[in-house]
Amino acid sequence: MNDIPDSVFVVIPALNEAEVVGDVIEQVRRECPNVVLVNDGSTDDTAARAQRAGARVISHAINLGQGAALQTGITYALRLGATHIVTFDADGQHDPRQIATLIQSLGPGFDVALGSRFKGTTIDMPMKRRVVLQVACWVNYVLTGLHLSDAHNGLRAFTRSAAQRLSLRQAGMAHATEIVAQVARHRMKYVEVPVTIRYTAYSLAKGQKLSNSVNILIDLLLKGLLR
Amino acid sequence: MIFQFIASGVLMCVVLYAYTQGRMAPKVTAFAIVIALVGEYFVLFPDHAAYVANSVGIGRGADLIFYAWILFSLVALLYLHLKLRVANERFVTLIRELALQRAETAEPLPRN
Repeated sequence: MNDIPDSVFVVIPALNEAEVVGDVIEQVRRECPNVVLVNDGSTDDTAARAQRAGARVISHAINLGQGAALQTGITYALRLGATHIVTFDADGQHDPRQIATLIQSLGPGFDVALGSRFKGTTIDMPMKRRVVLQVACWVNYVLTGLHLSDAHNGLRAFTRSAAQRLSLRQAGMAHATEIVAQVARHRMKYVEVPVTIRYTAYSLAKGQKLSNSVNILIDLLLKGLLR
Repeated sequence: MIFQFIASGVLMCVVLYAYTQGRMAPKVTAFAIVIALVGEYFVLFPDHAAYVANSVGIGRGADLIFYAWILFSLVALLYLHLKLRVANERFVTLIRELALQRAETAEPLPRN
């Protein structure tokens, strides 16, 4: 265990991750004991395994999408008194030891720490994904005005006040851009932190399909109409 | 003549139904009533559709009705889609709140 305060909570959204979620939570809990797993309508053993591994589990009655799961987890962590909230993917592609790095990065006056695989390291990243993520960075810039090196990294940290200002309306994967948009709108101070992303056959199979990028773009444009 | 009778009946039903829903969605009601009454007018006086069509640069009254139908259908489709998204957002909020309440029942929150 390192010197991460007890008031830090790690929020992990999960959908049918029974195969890996137990190991992921055990590794995360070695760094930070407070883990909130949001079971987003899984039809497998995800919730039970997460609970056995020591996570607090919240379950959506049906699948709503990663954005909704994150918002549920963040709201719950805030109600539990979290001073800092870290979002973390359930598929095991993040390194739990970097939670401490993110929290330390928030120290000198930042509201949000955004993990960046392109400032850090990627292991076994397919070229196609690299290209799509670079395009996503450009789309993010056009839609939000923030030029980030990594558009859709699930490893992030928020101070309590920043998390309280977040209000994710995008239930699906477009939430990643929505988070960046809200960081810009609320003028939160952010820092990009180099992180390592390890791609495995499992994480690539579980990750979003490239064709879904179009759906994300449509979601974001329609959200603009609804605002 | 038979079609005019049927179309008039259907359009009048639309007007009546829209009128009864006026309190729930006044703008949509007003829009639906205006469209139905205009449709009723052109059903009863089809020659006038040709006159209006000519005045806006369309050859035939039937074409004017067809183009207008496509435009109104697209607007209605977009409106319904946006309404559906708003309803879906409320649904998501409801499911999320239910999940939070269940979790809080299982583990009562600390009192600040």
